[in-house]
Amino acid sequence: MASYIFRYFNVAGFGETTRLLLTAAKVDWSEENPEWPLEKPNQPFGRLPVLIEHSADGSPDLVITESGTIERYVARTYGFLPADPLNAALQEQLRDRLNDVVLAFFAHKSVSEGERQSMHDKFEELLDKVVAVHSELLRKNGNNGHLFGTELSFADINTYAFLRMFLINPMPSLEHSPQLVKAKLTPEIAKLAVTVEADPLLEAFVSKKGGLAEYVLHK
Amino acid sequence: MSQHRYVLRYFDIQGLCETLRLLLTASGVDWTEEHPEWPKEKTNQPMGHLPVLVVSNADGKPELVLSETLVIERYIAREYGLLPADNLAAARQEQLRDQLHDVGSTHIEYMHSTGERSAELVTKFEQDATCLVSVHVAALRHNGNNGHYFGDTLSYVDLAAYAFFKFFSNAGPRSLKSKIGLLDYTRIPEVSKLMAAVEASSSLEPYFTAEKVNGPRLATRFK
Repeated sequence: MASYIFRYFNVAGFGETTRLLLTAAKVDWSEENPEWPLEKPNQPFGRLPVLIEHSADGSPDLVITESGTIERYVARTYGFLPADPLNAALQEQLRDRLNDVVLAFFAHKSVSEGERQSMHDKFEELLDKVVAVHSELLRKNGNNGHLFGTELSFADINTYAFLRMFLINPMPSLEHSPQLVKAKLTPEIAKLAVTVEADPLLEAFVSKKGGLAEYVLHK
Repeated sequence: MSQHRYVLRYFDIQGLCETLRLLLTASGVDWTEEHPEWPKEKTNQPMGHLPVLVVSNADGKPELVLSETLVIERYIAREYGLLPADNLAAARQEQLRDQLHDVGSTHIEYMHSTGERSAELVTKFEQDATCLVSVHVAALRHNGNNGHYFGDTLSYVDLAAYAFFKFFSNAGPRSLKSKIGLLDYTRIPEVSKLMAAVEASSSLEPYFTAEKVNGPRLATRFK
């Protein structure tokens, strides 16, 4: 059976989905947090994250980079994304739009004072949109705490990682946005958070890093 | 292979969609393009933005609407054999395509930036574009410098790279002029060979020769 090294910074960032997927896949994996930027030239694309796959039979290590590619590779290999391209796309599109929300938040911080409010409004508008899209999908799926089907999926894990980023020990640079995200949580999304977190496949992660149930259930 | 018909809904610009237009053409599917009134139609899109791909059955009845550019690209590429089914082989293409997208995004951010952030982005673009060229040249060489990234037929990353390098060969007035020379494919033999191979591909003939490709849009400036 293959084992993995996940190389990234010691932050949630764009790594949490992969950490959750590796945990849920029940593979042997560990993490490296390289010295940065010292180790930059040693990475295949000069960036993190990087995933290294050691095979059981001694053949050379596989190295994969780019956070989205890593996530999809692990998700597909271990059955968290369907093989069917259209059904996989329905899950993947949610991930990309959630990423847009994160990027919109950080973008509003990097613009000049005069533009900041309108960029913040854009962030909030986008946040409202993803909350509405997710809540509707959850309702259509019978409000069982899963976005698709009845088992833990890539989409579930990615949405959960997004919530963790904003609600548990958020980085100082996220400022007031954790309160904003929390205030917008719908009952359906809160149920997803609680359901995903309670999944036995994620027990090792949650017991080590803590859970967000208390954040979503108490307003 | 499914018997779907497709409508690409986007603006009448290159923008983010040339790779997708190339994919739709190369796949041989039945597709057209529509350019909705904007921002009037914004609230009618599933994720509030474009592009979207309307997926219809063989009779033209819409089944669902897919959003997010790269997701749509990978769906078409996988469905029509331009991206392998094998996870690892697909990941090898996807990571290269993601890198092209990252550098493209940095440039877009630069075009909208001001002040200190602008200066940061110049440095970032220079570093990331230099790395990209080195990685992509290595990949093309590793494959025997035959004008393809993998094997000897047209694939997803060939098309994405074509759109990327073409974009930077005629980037507009707000582009990062001092640095986009790093991506001048006429100075990179392996990439020049790729560009020629894509242009010579028979499955892309409609893209390069038609005046209007599958709808109201005039064929791209990539000629």
